[in-house]
Amino acid sequence: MGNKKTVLLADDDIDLVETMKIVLEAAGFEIIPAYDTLSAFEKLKTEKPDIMILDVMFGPGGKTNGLELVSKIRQDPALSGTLILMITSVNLKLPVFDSLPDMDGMPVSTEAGQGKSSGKDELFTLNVPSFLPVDGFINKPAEPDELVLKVKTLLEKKVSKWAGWKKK
Amino acid sequence: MELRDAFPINILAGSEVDERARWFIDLRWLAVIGVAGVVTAASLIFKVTLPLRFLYAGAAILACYNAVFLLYWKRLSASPGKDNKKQNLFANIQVATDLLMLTYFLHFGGSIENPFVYYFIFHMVIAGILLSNRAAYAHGAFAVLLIGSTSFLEYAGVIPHYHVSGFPDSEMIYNFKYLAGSLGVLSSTLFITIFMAATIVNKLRDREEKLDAANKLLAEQDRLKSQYVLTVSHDLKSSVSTIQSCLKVVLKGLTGSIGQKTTEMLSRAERRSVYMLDFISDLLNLSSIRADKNLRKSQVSVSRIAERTVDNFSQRFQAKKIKFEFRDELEEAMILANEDSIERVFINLLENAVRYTPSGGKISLELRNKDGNIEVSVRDTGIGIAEDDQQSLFKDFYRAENARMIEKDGTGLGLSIVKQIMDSHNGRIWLESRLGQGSRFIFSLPVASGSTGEV
Repeated sequence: MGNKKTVLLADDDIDLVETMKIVLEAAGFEIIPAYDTLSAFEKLKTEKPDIMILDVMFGPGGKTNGLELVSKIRQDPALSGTLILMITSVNLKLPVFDSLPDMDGMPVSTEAGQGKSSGKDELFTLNVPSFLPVDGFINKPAEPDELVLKVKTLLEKKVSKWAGWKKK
Repeated sequence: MELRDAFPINILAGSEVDERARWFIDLRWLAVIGVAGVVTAASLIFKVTLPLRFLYAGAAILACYNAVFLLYWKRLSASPGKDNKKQNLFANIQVATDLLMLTYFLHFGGSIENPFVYYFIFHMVIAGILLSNRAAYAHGAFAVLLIGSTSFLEYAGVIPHYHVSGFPDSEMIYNFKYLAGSLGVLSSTLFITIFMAATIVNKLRDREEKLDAANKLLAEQDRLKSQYVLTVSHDLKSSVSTIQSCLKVVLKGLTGSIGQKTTEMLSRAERRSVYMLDFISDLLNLSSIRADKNLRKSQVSVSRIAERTVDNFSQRFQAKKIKFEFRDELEEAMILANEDSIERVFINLLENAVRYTPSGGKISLELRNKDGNIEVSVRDTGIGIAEDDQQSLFKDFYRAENARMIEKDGTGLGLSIVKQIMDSHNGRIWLESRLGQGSRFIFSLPVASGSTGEV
């Protein structure tokens, strides 16, 4: 039981969380679900999961969206090493850097995270940041095998390459 | 300075005023020739006594100031950032000068007795069309003042009256009733002319403005509609992809074993959800391009995008035993474009080629430079497209009859997306095809794209 890797599943789509839970549990992971960003952030602190799977778009149910949560996690010294696998459903292609980019002048937070109302259509018009400090992306709907493979591959790293990236 | 404010040109755009100013100048050359011709003909052929010296001198003055106007016009239209105020003033000065000149000619040609007095109408029409209403009426008043004062001064004997003997028989100017009557008719004619010209022009301008506003509104509504479709399709996509994920979990046996018939039915449902997702994705793609005119653009290499897409297709080619040929003569030419969109164009065209080419067929992709454009051609030996279908092929949801026979599921949006992407990149797409003999789709993108975008 104690050897089981834990996965924090943060998505406001309850049905999707349930589906991914079945897939990941079958692959031997322990799942902690979170349906809004606030509780996701809390559970990240209390449960200390090995990896977090986060939906890029937390709908109106969440207090804020996934993009902002990433920024918040990376700014928290205790959490900045969290491995994050981001689920995208829009054609959001962002470069994932192999090494750390120059910190100066690199925006992390996005327009969407800057206190605008979180209407759903916003993501199509928001200025997508030039990159996101996450460890990988997976497209919705994810193939069960692909999901398991991505999680396993990422877990080999143990700590996110973005750890301590932004001190504030 | 005061003149400027008192005689503003109406809503006319700067360029229009500029054009009209040039038109005046061209017409004035004709007037010089006309005056000289009429004077010469009247004196030589009709033997009318005329103060020739003054009239020829007038024609010379007309030519001289027209030359000055021409020079000034050239300077004005060459100056960067056209100065509307200066152009307005220039137009007003031209009209006023012409009124003075016409009065000069009339004075030496018998004043109010000369029927050419009605040439003032031309100036009124021009003023009514080109200038503001206020300015036009002011010019009308100026014209009446000029010809009226000249005639009355002649009548009173203050200035000489040049009677064109033999034209009107008697010197009618000394008949006060005739003089007053003629001036009255002339003034009313001039003002009515201005009124008519200005009314028509005002109405036209009004309509033009309304049309412009309506066009803007339509464009905005179209964008909103696309935004709406975008939002709706996104919500649909979320749900369908979750449905698909649920089905996949069950089909994989992760929730326990299921019977054969159940598996079959769930597979059918899953296949339909795949089609629906494709459809929604296409709709989403199309709407997002239509809703967002400012596509993010950067310098991209068309060759590299093509190679990447071809790599992703290689398995499909092999599976269908399709011979694939790739010729690239671009040598890494870069263009300003949205990378994802250009990739989408390659994907959609190759997807169609694979789909409608029977196994054992051939597909060739060619990239080359042509007349400053990048030209890409996707040729296949597939089923071809009937001539009747070719016209409508790029319309939303349109699918050719023979394509529907081969593939029941198809969104009919693939080529719409391609067309939309071409439009947003100032590009062009066309096809050559004959039924049963294969198709060739060619698209061309400008290398030095004038379109703006982030680099």
